Amino acid sequence: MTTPLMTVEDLSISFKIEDRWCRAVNGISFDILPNETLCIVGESGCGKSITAMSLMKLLPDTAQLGGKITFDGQDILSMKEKELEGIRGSRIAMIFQEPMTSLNPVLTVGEQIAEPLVLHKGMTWSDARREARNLLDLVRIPDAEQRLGQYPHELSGGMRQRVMIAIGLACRPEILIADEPTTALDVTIQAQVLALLDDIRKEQGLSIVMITHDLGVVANVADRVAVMYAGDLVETAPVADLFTAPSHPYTQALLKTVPRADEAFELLPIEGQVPPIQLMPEGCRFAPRCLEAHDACEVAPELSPGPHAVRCWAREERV
Amino acid sequence: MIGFITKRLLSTIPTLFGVLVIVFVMIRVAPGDPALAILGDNASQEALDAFRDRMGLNDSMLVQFGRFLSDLAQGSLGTSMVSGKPVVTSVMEVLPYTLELALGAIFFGIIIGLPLGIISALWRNGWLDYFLRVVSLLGLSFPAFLTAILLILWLSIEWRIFPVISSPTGGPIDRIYNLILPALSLGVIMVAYIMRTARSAMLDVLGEDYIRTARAKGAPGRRLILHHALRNALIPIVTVVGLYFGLLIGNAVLTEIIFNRPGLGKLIVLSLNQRDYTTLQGLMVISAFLIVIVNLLTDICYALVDPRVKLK
Ligand SMILES: Nc1ncnc2c1ncn2[C@@H]1O[C@H](COP(=O)(O)OP(=O)(O)OP(=O)(O)O)[C@@H](O)[C@H]1O
Ligand SMILES: [Mg+2]
Repeated sequence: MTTPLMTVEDLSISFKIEDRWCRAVNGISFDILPNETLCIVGESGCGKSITAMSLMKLLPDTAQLGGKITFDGQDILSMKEKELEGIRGSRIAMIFQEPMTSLNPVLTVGEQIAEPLVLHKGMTWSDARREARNLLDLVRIPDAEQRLGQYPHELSGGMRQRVMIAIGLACRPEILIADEPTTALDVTIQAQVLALLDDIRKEQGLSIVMITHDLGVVANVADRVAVMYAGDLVETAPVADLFTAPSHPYTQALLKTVPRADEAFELLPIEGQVPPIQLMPEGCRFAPRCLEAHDACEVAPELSPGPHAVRCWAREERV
Repeated sequence: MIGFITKRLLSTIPTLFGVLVIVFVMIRVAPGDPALAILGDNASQEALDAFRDRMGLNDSMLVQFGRFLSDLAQGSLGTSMVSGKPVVTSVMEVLPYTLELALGAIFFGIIIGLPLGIISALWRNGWLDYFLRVVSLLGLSFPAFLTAILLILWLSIEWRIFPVISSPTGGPIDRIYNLILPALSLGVIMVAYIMRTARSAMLDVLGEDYIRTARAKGAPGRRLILHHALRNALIPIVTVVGLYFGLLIGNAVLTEIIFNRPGLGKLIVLSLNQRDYTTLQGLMVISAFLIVIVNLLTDICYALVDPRVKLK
């Protein structure tokens, strides 16, 4: 077995809402292996973004974090801000959902790409700028030299997301976290950006944690998939297993929401929605929406061991 | 840039023309006869007639307005009814003092207000933030003349650091020394405005996605605040400084009188007392020009701090 790059153990994230601590992420565990793409999927509001941000402890102070995130033998969650600054952008990088607002409007593209190089590699600004040029080539932005002097508002959404990727890749990180990097882009650009990320992963041998709610994206790029529901990790499996043998009722329902070419067209939305974090049910959090829920579901099940892990009382009959 | 400035100046011509008409009419319909006011109640009818004739007060309003405009086109605002001195000369003699006072106030406003605003934002809802907000509210609601008097009582009379009367006559050092206290007292309002704007602008900016991006890059806190956030927060601050410049000139008049300092304030009071209508008229015209120029400078500053603004 390969040793994981990062191990997340029993991660929980709580926010204080009306004087009560509410667990938005409810003790989840997973590994990030070298040179893989791990996709985290789930509906809106199930805790994907806050999970991603906690991987580099980027959440606001109002969030209470529990559990352990081991990276290079150290626990990220107990690191001081100074140590974290040394890791952020250099060994773990992150790109965000909104390319339109994630770049600083008053700084040039060149400066924004060069910044992590100056901060982490001790480069001079002019060296870093030269390297920024190469990075723009890497993310396939034409007229790199000219782009360096431009401001974000002069670029299209797809270009901006490429710039974000260039910033993320600047210091050759070991892990790149991409939080819905293509949601804000139109379909053709989406495909280009995903292909670019995949190429770069292969070339540079980094690991990508890809957050998405789009199973099409998962099918395209994932090696392994982690399915989240309402702050729980309900199923994790290699991508092929997940699509051929989904075991958790939520995963099964989720798969039924995507149209598939090889099946008679039958699109089934999941009834109801993810509850807000202050109204999470006791026991299995999916039970209220689950068509197969029974008495046992009043107690939360554990995640089963093994590469294809499921968190459901009914799993024995299934796997 | 040159093209932008020319275009902007041309576009203010209708506004300025409106101002000219209003100033001209206001002065002429105001009660009181300048000839009587200047020559006194005991002047003979001949003397009054001669004066009116010399000043062109017997011509029709339209002729007078035409003369006013053609003078203006030649860069002249006429001559003082009292001293016979060209109005432009007497205004230009004292204008630098008022300008340096206003700029000094803005200087204090920025060097005190900006850091306090940032501190307030960073410790929002902490005791320091509450304290600073109360102080800034006091600064806003305190009349400028009261601030000036308190500062004089305290710094000039009690501690004897600064002169009570600001008479900048010597070299540059003396001029700055004489400027400090008036500028500080005029600047109190500016400190308050800039502090409040900086606080809210910083709070807005710190919540933006690109600040999170900068954090994800590993930018240390200081760089985050002073480089990434402040650069963006400057945009609304420039607006406030530009907007309140007019208010500042207005308050400067009071400050100048309290400190018995040369400047537009003293000139206005003198002209009012002497019913020197041409000088008053010239003062208003020049003030209007000043505001136009300040607005222009504000727009140029915008373009400097915000690359999305194009000077076209
Ligand atoms: N700072 C915060 N304070 C309080 N609650 C928060 C905070 N940030 C996130 N939450 C809550 O945590 C839950 C998970 O949020 P998160 O942003 O991770 O969802 P997500 O899975 O990324 O959804 P989406 O697909 O919409 O991005 C949501 O219910 C959200 O309201
Ligand atoms: Mg999200």
